[in-house]
Amino acid sequence: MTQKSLREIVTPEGAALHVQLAERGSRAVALVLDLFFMFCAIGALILVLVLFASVVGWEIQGLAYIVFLLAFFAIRSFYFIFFELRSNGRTPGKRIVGLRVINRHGGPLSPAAIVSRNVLREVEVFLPMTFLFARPSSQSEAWVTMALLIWSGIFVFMPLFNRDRLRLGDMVGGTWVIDTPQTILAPDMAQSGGAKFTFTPQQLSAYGIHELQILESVLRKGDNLTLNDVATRIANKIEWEGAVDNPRVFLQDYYAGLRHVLEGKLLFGVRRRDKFDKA
Amino acid sequence: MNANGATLRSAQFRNKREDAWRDLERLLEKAEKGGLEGLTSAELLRLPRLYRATLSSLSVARSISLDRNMVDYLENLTTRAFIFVYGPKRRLGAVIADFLFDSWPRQVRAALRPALLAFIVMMLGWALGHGLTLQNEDWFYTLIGEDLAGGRTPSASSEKLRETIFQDEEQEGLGLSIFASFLFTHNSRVAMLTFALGIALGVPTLLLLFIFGTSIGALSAVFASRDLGADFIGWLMIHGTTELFAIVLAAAAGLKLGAAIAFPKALSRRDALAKAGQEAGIIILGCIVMLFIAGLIEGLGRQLIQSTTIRYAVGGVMLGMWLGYFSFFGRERR
Repeated sequence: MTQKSLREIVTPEGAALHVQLAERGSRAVALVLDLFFMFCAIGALILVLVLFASVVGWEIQGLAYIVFLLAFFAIRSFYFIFFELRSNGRTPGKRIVGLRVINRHGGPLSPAAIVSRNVLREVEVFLPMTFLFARPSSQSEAWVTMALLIWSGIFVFMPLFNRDRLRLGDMVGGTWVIDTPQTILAPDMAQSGGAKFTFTPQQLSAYGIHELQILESVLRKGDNLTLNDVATRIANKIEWEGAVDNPRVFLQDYYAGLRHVLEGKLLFGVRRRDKFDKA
Repeated sequence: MNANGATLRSAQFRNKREDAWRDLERLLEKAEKGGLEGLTSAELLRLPRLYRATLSSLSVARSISLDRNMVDYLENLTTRAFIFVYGPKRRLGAVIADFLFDSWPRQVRAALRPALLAFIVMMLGWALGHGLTLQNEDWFYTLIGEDLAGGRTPSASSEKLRETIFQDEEQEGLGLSIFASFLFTHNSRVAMLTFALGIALGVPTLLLLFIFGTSIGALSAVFASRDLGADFIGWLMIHGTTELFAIVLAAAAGLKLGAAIAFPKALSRRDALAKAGQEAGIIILGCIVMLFIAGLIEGLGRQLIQSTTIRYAVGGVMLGMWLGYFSFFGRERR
């Protein structure tokens, strides 16, 4: 989780939860996937209509065309709204990428918000597309089309222009699009291992919470080279005499000891943020 | 066990509560795969309770534990549960019913003044276009592009013009349908554009509406000068009452957005925009429905209805229905 893209929502119980804003690239991918699914649906529709016409007779092609146009319009207008209403903020494209739409103010996602944020997609996506595919028949029309394309381009790239990565629909609907990772509960690092190394209180007061948590991530994910490096560094800092023959066990024991000390301080309301914090 | 032989408080805490967290995790995995419908009723009852228990675990963990992974896990779990516990309260059918019978008419009534403004501006445009073209038919070419006219130019003979509004049975074909649908997509685009331009503080919306009105005015003038005026209005009316109504409402929704940005009053601009946006969004969804219905009528009515009187009747009935719908539905406070 990067700090810059973290946002806070307040639950109705008054608790503050942190959510991670979705990457703009992920949102673009989800949109492309959704457009692709819409495209497939429309393709299937064309197939059905053509089959129907070939069976019933080609005179109904006018009617078939109208049915096609109306169905195309319906699919285009209601796809996103239908899925976001049905699955609480997830379209098939978003589901694949792992994103979700939530209410910025911590309440439930209201149907009005879903409707308005998707209706604005007409303005952001489909309108620029019509300008893109327009075939102006005169010089002045070409200029007008170009100007409209640039103007609508502002809407398309709106997520790039604000900190919360809101597109126009998000601003109007009061929503955020968040990443929904699934964190796994790993074993407690302080509980793994015997007490092979013991440390004095003096040695355990060298670091604060920040270093403790870095040590935790090193222990969880680090390779032997990193472990060795960190063990040497700590040993030097605390002036450890004796060999550090097993860096992993050394670090585990140091972690356990440091955690014990710092959590003890927590009980008295003292939070030592890092090694420079004189708490 | 750590060096001192005593167990960490956070570890004791975790041992006590971990089973509940795992239970919630399993429930959430099930719900995320198959939706809330995939859960049994026993599980559905357990969910809020587990959510609150995990929420309290999170608060405790934040104050007594320095295990980053555990705190992140609890936060993640709580957020995932929060999304389901505070998810939508009603089924899709109820939401649609609420939209049709309550929200939509009510929002349209609330946007009465912008709608009237939009209507007046469009009518003014119509009058101007009609007047100018009656005086001098060259105005027609300024006001309407070639493709939109589709052969209905002043240079066309009266016979040809008559053909465009009435047609024989044998004349049905792909060509006419394509033109009809072209008009439909064009008008839908006008509706969306007037809404979008509303965000630009409303002035372009009124401008666009006015210009749109002039183009219709130019067309009506051409037909009027050949004594086909009443027939043209009839041809327009079948789907036109619904379609033009939709365009006026779309413009009203856009104006609402523009007003929210320009005059946020007590709220911040962002909050005012969000509030107006949700109201305008409902109106626009309604406009999409109306455009859809207009397209349906246009597609079917064109082939089937040839008499001008019936066309006026259909147009009038549709207008009456819409006015009645917007006036009387959604009045009781539920």
